[in-house]
Amino acid sequence: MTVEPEIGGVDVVIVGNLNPAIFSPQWFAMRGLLSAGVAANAKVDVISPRVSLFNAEWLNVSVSTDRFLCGTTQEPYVRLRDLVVRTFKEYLEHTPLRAFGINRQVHFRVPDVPTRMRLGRRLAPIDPWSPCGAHLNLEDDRSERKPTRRIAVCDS
Amino acid sequence: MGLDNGAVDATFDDRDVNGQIPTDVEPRDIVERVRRDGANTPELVWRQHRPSGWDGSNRWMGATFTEQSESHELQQDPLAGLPSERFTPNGPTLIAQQEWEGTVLSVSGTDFMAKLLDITAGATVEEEEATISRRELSDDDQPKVTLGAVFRWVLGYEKSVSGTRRRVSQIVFRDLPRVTAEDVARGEAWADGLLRSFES
Repeated sequence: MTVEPEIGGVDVVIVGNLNPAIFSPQWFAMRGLLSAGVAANAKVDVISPRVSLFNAEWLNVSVSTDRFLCGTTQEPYVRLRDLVVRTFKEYLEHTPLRAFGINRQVHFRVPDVPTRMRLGRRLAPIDPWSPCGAHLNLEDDRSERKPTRRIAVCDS
Repeated sequence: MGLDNGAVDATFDDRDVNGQIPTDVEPRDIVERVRRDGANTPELVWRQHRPSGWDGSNRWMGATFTEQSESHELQQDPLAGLPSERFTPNGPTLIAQQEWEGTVLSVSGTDFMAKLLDITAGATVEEEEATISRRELSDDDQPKVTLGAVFRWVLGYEKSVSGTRRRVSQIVFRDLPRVTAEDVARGEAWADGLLRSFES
């Protein structure tokens, strides 16, 4: 059975030495990476030497001096790949880049809180963590910002 | 304006410094602020501890800021008002139920014929052909309909930020990167290596 997600999206994140001020909708449009119409209707939050942030129809862009992030919540996601590859292969090929990642987000709706809790317990059972399980921040109330504890399990 | 504990409350008005943002403010903080208050927020306000080397003038790590009256100060911890962890997309979400990759085989005035690879089914061979009306395309994609052009065709549901759902068919022509001389050289080296493996 396939459960259809309510929200889905992909972010491409690149870590390196970047110049946020150049990343504007017009910059992408002038190089044919975005259409002129999409760029003209973009919503720009800020374009500055330290950070740039805008969204243009299907594309969300957030750039700081050490991180480039662009994402979309609209399929086909492959156009995000095309845009990132062309940006850094054809126009910013000399930009020093150190790391690259793809974040995939999928959000599902469940009928009620108990169902969500059962699903959460099944995916991440807390029994093996007792008594640490009480500190795993798995409670339902997310409105209260509790201190979190990050635990990593890996081979050594 | 100094505080007893040595911290400095500073109010930064981006209009006063012609859009320059102090170099010691984390971009992430600015992004969070803009997302919370929107692009029209008159001030970007933060609280910073006094850095070593602070000379008491209106210079803050190389960027001028304007001290303002107490009434403009942030009265609470800036972190207290950060958005919740619930994910809210900036725009509509389009979830594909069916996706093909198509290659244009022929073009006429009102439509074009393409062979289709079923991405959803994980197909590796194009087994379907379709004649698609050019009215399905956006104005931007009309000039891209040429022989051999590659596109993605998505059928799915689009959900608006307010929750409205509608069935969508969307065709997007791909903007594939240009093939460079380096790409060709790399391909030739790969082919030569493959040929040598057969000969040995």
